[in-house]
Amino acid sequence: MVTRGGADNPGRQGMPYLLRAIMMSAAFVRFMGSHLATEEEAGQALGRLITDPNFAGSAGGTLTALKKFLLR
Amino acid sequence: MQSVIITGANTGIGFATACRMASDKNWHVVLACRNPQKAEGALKELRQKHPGASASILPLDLLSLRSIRDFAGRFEAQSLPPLGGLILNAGGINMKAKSLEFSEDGSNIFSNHFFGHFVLTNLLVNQLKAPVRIVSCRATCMIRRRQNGRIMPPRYGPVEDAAYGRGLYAKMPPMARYGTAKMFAMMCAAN
Repeated sequence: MVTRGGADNPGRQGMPYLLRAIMMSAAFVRFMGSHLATEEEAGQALGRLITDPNFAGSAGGTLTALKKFLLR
Repeated sequence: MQSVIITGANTGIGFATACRMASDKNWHVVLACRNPQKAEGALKELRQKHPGASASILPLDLLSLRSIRDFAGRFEAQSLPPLGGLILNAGGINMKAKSLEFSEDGSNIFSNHFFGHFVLTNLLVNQLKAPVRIVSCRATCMIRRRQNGRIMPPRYGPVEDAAYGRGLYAKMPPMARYGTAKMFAMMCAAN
């Protein structure tokens, strides 16, 4: 069992440099297909989930930011 | 005015969301971050982008149950606007760990993506004032099995085993851990 966590946990910075570089490369992101929007677009979408009255009844659902916010 | 708590708000999507919420004068933004220095930097940048924004910092380490309890207590003790929004955004992967890892007070890596947010939400539930929205940010990595399932296949087993890092969950490669934690979080949100 490895003891970690707390204030000394390195988080994302704890990843090996090469692995971080691979994960942040355009080719890897395209392959994984998960990063379909910029941080700003994702932030706008998340903010709308809190403030937009149209999403008041979206409880228990799984939303795809791309379909719900960026393509309409 | 209502308060919205954003976990992992010092960088990435969390910070972008904090900026979005700070632009709305009806919301007080609470940046729930593990690293105080990074949180201070984020708050400064946020106030530069949105002068007059209502925002504050509360320390939160989702890998520590003690920190989560402290956070809930501190939020209650402060005279902030009523809590109307919770954005569960924080997450990360520790690639160096060989299996499930435990912090000093017994919580493990699942805390970062699932259990910490689950505990936090439960501790804050009495402070939520309608209208309330809770948003859980998750990845689709555990769903797209044709591509990603080969790399980070989630493992389905008893949640007790996941909590204690035993049985099926005793030894897992990092990406499988990530996918499994995300799966738990998504199942929790869906239910």
